[in-house]
Amino acid sequence: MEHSSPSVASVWDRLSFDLTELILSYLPLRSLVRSSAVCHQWRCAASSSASLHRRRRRPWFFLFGLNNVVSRLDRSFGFDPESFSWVPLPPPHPDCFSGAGGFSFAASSCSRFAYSPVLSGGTQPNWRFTKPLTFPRCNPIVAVFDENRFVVVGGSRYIGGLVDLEDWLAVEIYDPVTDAWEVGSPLPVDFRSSGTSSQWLSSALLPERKMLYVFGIYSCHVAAFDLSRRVWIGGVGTLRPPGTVFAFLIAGLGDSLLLAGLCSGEQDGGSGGAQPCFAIWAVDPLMRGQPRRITVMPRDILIGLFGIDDDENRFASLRCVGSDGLVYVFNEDHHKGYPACVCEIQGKEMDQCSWRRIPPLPGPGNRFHKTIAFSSPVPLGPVLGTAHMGCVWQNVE
Amino acid sequence: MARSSTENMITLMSSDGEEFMVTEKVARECTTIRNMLEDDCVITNIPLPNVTSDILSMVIEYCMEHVAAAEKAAAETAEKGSSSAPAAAKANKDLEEWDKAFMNVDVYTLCDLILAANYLNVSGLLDLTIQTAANLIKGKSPEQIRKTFHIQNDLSLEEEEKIRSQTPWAFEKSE
Repeated sequence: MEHSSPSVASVWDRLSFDLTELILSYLPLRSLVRSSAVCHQWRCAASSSASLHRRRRRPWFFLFGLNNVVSRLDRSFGFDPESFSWVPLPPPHPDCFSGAGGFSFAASSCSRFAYSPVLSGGTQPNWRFTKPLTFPRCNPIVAVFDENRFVVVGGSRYIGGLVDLEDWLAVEIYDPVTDAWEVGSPLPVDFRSSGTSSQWLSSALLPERKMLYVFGIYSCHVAAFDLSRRVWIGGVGTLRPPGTVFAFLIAGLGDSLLLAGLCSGEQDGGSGGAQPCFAIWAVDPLMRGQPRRITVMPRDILIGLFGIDDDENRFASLRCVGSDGLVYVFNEDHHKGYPACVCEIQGKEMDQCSWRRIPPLPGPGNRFHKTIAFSSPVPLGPVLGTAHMGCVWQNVE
Repeated sequence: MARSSTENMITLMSSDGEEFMVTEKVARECTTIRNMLEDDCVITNIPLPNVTSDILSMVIEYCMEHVAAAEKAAAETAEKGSSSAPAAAKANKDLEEWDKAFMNVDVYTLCDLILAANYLNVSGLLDLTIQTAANLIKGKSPEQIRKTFHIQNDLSLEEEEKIRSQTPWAFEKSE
């Protein structure tokens, strides 16, 4: 056979741009970013590989820890489900309060609202300020739709250090083109008694329906906000499967809703002992019928996260976030070192569920006074900074 | 492997003129060839000017292995009425092992296989080779990647520095 070894320089040159792009689309994000620093062609291919639908990137789990006393102990981490590992990130903004839909959000003095694409900007994050909110507030729920329109719901307003219970905080929607906030009707009155800040609420946005669902973690009230018409529709309902102590509402795969929560006293097959468990239900977005239980966290994972004391309070530090078929559950108690797990839900009937323990957070000394946890997709453009680099790549056959 | 003598045989001809006789079933694993056969069902001799003989023989080896595995699984299902899950899982695992061993090649051959799998449109092989190439990139620094694939760095020092300073978390060690 006369297979003469090709010249050393030409190994990769023979692969077309399309194939390079395809190969890069198989990489976890961190390797992809490194690849973008290999050469010009790879830089362009890395950036356009995002459009290959075959390999949709899964939402990351972000955990920001703030230390009220020594700010240099602030830490920020991102968990990449593809490489199944934590990525240490530059420290969070000290006024950061939440994140969603590819952004993290910060508010100093509650009226100044700022946003920054997740994972972008390196050590000098590119925070951008919006015009102030019409109704200043602390710890609202923020969700993102149409790529960069923010919707702000609830939150609380303080007067002289006390929560102002009389203030009806309107829903506000940000228009990035005009840099203006549009005002919609406030959170229904049913939510006011159980707390309107993000500590008490969880939310799920279904982009196909253009609906934002807001859910009371303890009250189990649920209401739906129509993002096109800017109104709450269908009244306030309750989603509380039997035995539920508290729960979180999460956007599932595609156009589906999930409820994830702690149940106390599930009868444990004749042993008589009432064991708490953490379950996930599928919920109809039109709120027809009862939630359908699809999976329960395996006991060993639950014990790994919360220990085995009889004290039911040990679950008070349980938080749950997620989107796009991934449900992240973690313990925000600093004594435990913030253990977390993830449930991946697949299948048309959402019946293929696999639970996995997430590796421990990297580095010692993770003790925070406050943690901010959210799950978010990671848009490639801002991460690679390739938006304005003018990639016109000719395929050389 | 016993084959019925009535099975259609197809001759594939590599760019360097070598001929390979394969069953139609194996040839049909290549979508490009399948389309040719569907357009013209009497065709028996197919020249493949983009694929050398050593690469073509590997592609055929891959297709034969996967056709055999699929036939075996189908036969077992037919025999027992339904496939037994543990047996199917074992068969899958065996095939995965086979694929893994098959991918034990140098980067030149890997690139050739990617091109051939893409040209002949063998989706399983394309996925396997692309994944293998991606695995070679994973966890490496830009310098190590350039070295592995002999790529010239045409980024300026400033451009490279900018990427690193924008996304320092991607360049830190560990992983």
